[in-house]
Amino acid sequence: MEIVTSIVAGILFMTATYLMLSKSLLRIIIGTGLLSHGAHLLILTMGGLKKGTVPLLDEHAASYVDPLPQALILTAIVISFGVTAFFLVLAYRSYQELGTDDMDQLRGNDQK
Amino acid sequence: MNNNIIILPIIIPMITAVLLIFFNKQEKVQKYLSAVSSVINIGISVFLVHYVHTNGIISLEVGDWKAPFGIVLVADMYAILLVLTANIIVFACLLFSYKIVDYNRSKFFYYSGVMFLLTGVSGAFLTGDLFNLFVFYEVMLMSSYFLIVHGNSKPQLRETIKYILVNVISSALFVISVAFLYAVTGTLNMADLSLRVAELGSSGIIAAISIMYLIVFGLKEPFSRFFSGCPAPIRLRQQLLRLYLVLF
Repeated sequence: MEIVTSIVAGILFMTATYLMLSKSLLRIIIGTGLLSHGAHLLILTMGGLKKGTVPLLDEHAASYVDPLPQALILTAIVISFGVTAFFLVLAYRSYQELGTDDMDQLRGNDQK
Repeated sequence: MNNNIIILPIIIPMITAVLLIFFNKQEKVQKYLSAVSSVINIGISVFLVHYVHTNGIISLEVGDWKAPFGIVLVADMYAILLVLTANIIVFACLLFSYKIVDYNRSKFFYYSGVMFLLTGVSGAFLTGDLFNLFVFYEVMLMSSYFLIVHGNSKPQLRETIKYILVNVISSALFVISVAFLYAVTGTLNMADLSLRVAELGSSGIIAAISIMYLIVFGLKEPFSRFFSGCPAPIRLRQQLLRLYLVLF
């Protein structure tokens, strides 16, 4: 199962890289979203999947699942959500101001 | 004396920033409040430097969760001196921005942004937990995005897009390298980490993870230098160095 999730994380990274290399700003933002999703899936895989029961003392089980990666993922999701929201608003504002979402025209070579 | 004083350099700018959000229309209140809070912060930092000098390293287990599991805040001499430096630089930046930041800018939460930036920087220096370092890094980065784009001119909007993109990528890499390190060592506490890494010796996987961290901070640092159109208080090479000291 770990191998499958690793491969899925790899596919997410691949797609994110492809999207971030494109010209359209919206695609780049979707790419950053996918990149953070891949990172979260990777944290989950690194913690190890389903090695015991839920981490509650009442369960009296031989082994428990490590709860820390899930806490890390929760925090990382909130942060990436905030950054993505900021990025979307920024993209919208700059589309209003600059009139384009093409990264080729957003190079900034002209000193205006 | 209680060790809770370590948290003050983090929490005072945060409370000030929240208060300043409510007073965004009163320019005088903003100026005085931010200056007073900054001076108080410098005083506390000086006291902490003195305290660490006489009593040695102090640490606080946040929420009383024991050390390898919970988050700890650690104030050693190096970290607290950096906090003091950051506070002094922010105070100087504030005095400077009283001249150049007009009402049109300050009513859109300029001083709150500076104070949140100080929260992130102080937190990143004082934390003893690797993931908490990431969180404070993000606090700092969010306010730096805000401060860079603050003013809404065309070049700012255009360059902030690139700045955010680079930092989002390096943040994702940061999370990934934290995950790798956690998988190898099973801990995120920096002090515990140094012991575990020393036990592992110089294996290939530690070298690979170190290179990941090198990429992460190498991506973040030069760009924060190139694009900083804001009074960004402090450069993060020190933090990078500190992390290397932990890892090797």
